[in-house]
Amino acid sequence: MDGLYRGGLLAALLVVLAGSLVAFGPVDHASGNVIRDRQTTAVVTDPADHVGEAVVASGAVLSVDPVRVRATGSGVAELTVTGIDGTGLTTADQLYVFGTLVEPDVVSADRVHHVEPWEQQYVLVASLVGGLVLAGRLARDWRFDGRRLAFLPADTGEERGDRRD
Amino acid sequence: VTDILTHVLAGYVLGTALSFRVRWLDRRFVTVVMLGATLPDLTKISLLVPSRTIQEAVGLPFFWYALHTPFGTILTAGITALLCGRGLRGRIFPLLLVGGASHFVLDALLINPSRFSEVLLWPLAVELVPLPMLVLSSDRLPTVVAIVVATATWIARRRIERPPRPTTGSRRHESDRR
Repeated sequence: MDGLYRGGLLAALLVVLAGSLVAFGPVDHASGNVIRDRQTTAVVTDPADHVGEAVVASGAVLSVDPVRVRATGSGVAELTVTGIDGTGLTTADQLYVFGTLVEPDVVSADRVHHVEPWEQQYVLVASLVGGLVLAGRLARDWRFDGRRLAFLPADTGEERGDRRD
Repeated sequence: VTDILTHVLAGYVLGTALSFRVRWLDRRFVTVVMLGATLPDLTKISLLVPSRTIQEAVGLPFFWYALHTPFGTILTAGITALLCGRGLRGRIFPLLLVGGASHFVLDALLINPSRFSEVLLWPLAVELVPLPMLVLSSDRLPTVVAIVVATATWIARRRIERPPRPTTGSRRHESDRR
């Protein structure tokens, strides 16, 4: 009985999940190279309508003197960033600009953050380490019971009172 | 997206803190909270199979990022719980959700939350939620803080489980130990 109930519920959740992945399809896919409204973080699709407004732009650095970044997601091939010194930036960096849009393709920066390529590598390495830590704990703490087709807690000896970490 | 190590450590801290109050919540269930803290990052499947590839294959709009919404996390937590043995699911499901909630709290601090702010209430509403935008996903500080707090939590847990041997009086009975 549990098998039927479990299988039915599992199938229902998988169908809803698949439906969600499809229903979510039209949502904005942009992850970088865009200008966003600073308050709502919505992607600015027509920069001319947002001149004078606070924005946050994120894009790959195209040049450092003057500083220009890619903002193709907002229809701007090259977004010029004023009010900052390009020293220390390279064309491999990712730049985040908090500022005001003074022209459709010019942003006056209040503050900027940049991410260097090694920092992007750092995220990947830290994520890999995190994944390995989790995989190790799952392998040690849980086992798959082929007869019940279910994951069950492994016997860690805690029931006998010798908890360990 | 904050790095997965920070999420895993946050799950460890939360799960261990809960274990101080909930007797049945041993290290195996702490691991469940840690797993829950990474569930929204199932969206990283897109690195292997891009959304666009599936979209073109099935001819329908498709976006893995639905997995990185609270609604998507409820679904994946439910599926994960159902893959576990009978009698465990009622414990595992809420623990996965606790971990998943910690994921969204941490990601809400990111400077470049991308479309994250649009999807918190999806599918109930597609509303933009202003976020503080405090840290970059590549900042090391959150990871360092997570490592320090997780280490302190690990030490605290060991001390609670193995209190110093009393210098006088009788040995504690086994059943007194957590």
